[in-house]
Amino acid sequence: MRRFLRDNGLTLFFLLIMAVALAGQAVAGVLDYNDRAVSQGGHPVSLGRYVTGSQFAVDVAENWQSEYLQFLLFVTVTVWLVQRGSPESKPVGSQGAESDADQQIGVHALPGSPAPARAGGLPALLYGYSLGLTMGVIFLLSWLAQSIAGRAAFNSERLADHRDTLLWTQYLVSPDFWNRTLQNWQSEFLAVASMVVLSVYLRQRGSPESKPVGAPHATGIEG
Amino acid sequence: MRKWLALVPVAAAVTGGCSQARDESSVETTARNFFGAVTSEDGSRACALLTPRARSALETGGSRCDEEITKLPLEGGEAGPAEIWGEQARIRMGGDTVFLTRWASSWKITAAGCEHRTGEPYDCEVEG
Repeated sequence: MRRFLRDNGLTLFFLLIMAVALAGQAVAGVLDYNDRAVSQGGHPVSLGRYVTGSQFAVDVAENWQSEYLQFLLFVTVTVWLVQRGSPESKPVGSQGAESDADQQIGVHALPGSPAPARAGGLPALLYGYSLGLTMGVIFLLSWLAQSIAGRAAFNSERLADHRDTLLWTQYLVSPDFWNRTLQNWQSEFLAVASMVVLSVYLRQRGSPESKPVGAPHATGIEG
Repeated sequence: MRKWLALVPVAAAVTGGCSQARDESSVETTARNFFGAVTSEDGSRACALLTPRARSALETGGSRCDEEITKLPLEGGEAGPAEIWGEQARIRMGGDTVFLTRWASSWKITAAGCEHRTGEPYDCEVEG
């Protein structure tokens, strides 16, 4: 058990704080929702009703989709674009999908290589893009969930204002959908750009996300 | 175990469907009772089905809700399908559109006698 916790501490830590943050979001969210509901002449809802409703769902989904988009772009764009001196980048000049030898595929596989990589061909091709594909699928599903829950929450607000509701296709081109989407995207893109460029010049001793403290800023430490 | 897990979304869909049907029925009943009370000139029963804010909107300048509500041209009619999103609902009763909000385990009317206006909120005889 102790060994399991040590070997998986990074994942477990983030899952734990994610659960705590999600619970906190639910409590803060229902208080905020009820505050607005009462001020608009409505009736407060229970925590259980709030967390199974569209308002909580869209607030969660809009953040999830942007995080998975961030990592989808990070793992795919870094194949082709580099930042000299950044530990988040490959070395300048090594852009592209690289050779089978570099990627340890087929006859170049090592004894411990995953089975699809040893098999080569289509299995290796699919496996070779499985991280980006998975991030991409989760991103699209989260974005779809945002659009469905967002429409429900938006239509609820529209009915509270005694206005007509929107079809899903109308909601997809509405300011509400794109405001929720883009306000999350811009922050994720800024965070990635900051990480890539700040890690050229700044250090975090002991972190794999950083170059060694004494590493030169621009010379051949990337990757 | 897996078979039981597969039943979870089915049970959720059935439960959700039942809940939706119950809400639609409750919305229609509330709207029907409201127009029934207005047409039978039972103002206090009609006002009891309004939210406090909608009731207050009829009580300006010393007037009373139960007196004012029966003077309004609220006729109602055959119920159309109820549209429910979260805590809010809308239903058409003849030529009138009614907006409702969930109020604990029942529904209350936020606006009644509403007419559609393109690109704007409905124009309502009662609203709050």
